[in-house]
Amino acid sequence: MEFFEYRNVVIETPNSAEAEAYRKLELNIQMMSIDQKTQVIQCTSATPEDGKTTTSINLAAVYAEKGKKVIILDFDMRRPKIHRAFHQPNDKGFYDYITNDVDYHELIIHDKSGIDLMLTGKHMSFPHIVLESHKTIDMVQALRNEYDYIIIDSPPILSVTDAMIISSYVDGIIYVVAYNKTKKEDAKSGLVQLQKNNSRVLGAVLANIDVRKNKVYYGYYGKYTSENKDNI
Amino acid sequence: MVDIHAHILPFVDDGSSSLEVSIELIREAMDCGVKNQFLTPHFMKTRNFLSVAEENQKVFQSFKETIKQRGWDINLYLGNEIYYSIDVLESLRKKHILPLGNSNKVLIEFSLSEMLEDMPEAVHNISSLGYVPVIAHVERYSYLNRLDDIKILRRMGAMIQVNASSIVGLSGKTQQAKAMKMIKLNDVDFVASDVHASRLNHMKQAYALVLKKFGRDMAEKIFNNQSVL
Repeated sequence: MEFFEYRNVVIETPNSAEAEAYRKLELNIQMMSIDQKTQVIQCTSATPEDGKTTTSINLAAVYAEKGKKVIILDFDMRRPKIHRAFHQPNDKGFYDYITNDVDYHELIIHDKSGIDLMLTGKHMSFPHIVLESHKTIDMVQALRNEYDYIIIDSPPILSVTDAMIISSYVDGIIYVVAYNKTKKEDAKSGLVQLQKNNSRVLGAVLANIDVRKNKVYYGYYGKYTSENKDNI
Repeated sequence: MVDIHAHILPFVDDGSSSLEVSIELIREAMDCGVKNQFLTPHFMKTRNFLSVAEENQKVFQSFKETIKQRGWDINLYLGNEIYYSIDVLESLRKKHILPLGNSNKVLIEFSLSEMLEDMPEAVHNISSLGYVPVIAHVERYSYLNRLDDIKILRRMGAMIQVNASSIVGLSGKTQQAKAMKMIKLNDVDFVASDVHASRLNHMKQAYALVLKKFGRDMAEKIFNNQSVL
């Protein structure tokens, strides 16, 4: 058992250096989207607990702060976390849409933060089959007409195939790497898998940094391109 | 004393199948020094104990009247011992199952032998509905042996109940040692009887033992926790 809690610094400490770093991330995504629309964004990483969920919720908070209509889809059905981050019960959600044909609008939580949420709901046994189903893709497509931004919190790449499946219907991927935690080899092989899949990686987020202890990295967000991939 | 966990209400679960027995259980509780007695029928799908709040309320009101007529000095409250599954969240929303008395605390239990449900998830889910989960007889879960895990559950907002019978050693030395260690670490919020017709009430002996080992402040804190009233 492990105690963990998520901090949404954009909401809790909007004037902090950490919050500002997430605003820079949003700006970087915007810059990457001049010629190519980026509406559906997947947050993933190589290994578990690298900071995907924290990145998802803070990026969503930046969009909400800007008055954009944003939803987070928790597509990590094996270890869902979005409900924890928003202090919501997780008994209703995507499961009901898939299994019981409930209208997905009824399952969307309108959180007081201004961010909408689709939680996983009850446990599903074969997430990879669900994630590549037409029903899932249809929902994501329909949400494009209802939201400015859709952020998908997904499982790590090296653990299961789910993240690769999701990457086929998103506009871009944010690749989260945890400072002092993610192994260099793991970070590289995750990225290689995404490349082989022809996924559009928007950039990498270097998470888990204590900005007070690591001033040199202050607010750093690395933009991934094929030229600098070896630096990750 | 406050006893937050007892199967005394007649006809609703495996606690008592007659009014006379239930009256006797109340008398025994009073002999132990209990002044505030919670009646917590099982809500447990797997054993088909599914009497809902409305039915329990009727039995409770009538039972309360019976005790009142005897002029006994004891306050009775209704609650449930809820066997956790994800479906109980909807039952809580619909108020088919009850928190402890007028409090926002909910008594929950899990499988004793194997971890069928993720306990931290359960604590999170119940807390996010606005209730404080009180985990029943924590010392009895064979898979919950790391005392650090109890601290994590408490940090997440759960409260911890241990059984009086475990404290006096009736559930074996392992459970007794676990319960004592938790008390020592200040990780117990309530001691309760979990009494059934088939099980004796050990609140008095357990209180005496805790008093002897840990002093009056600790004994009062965990046997007379008023936060639930």
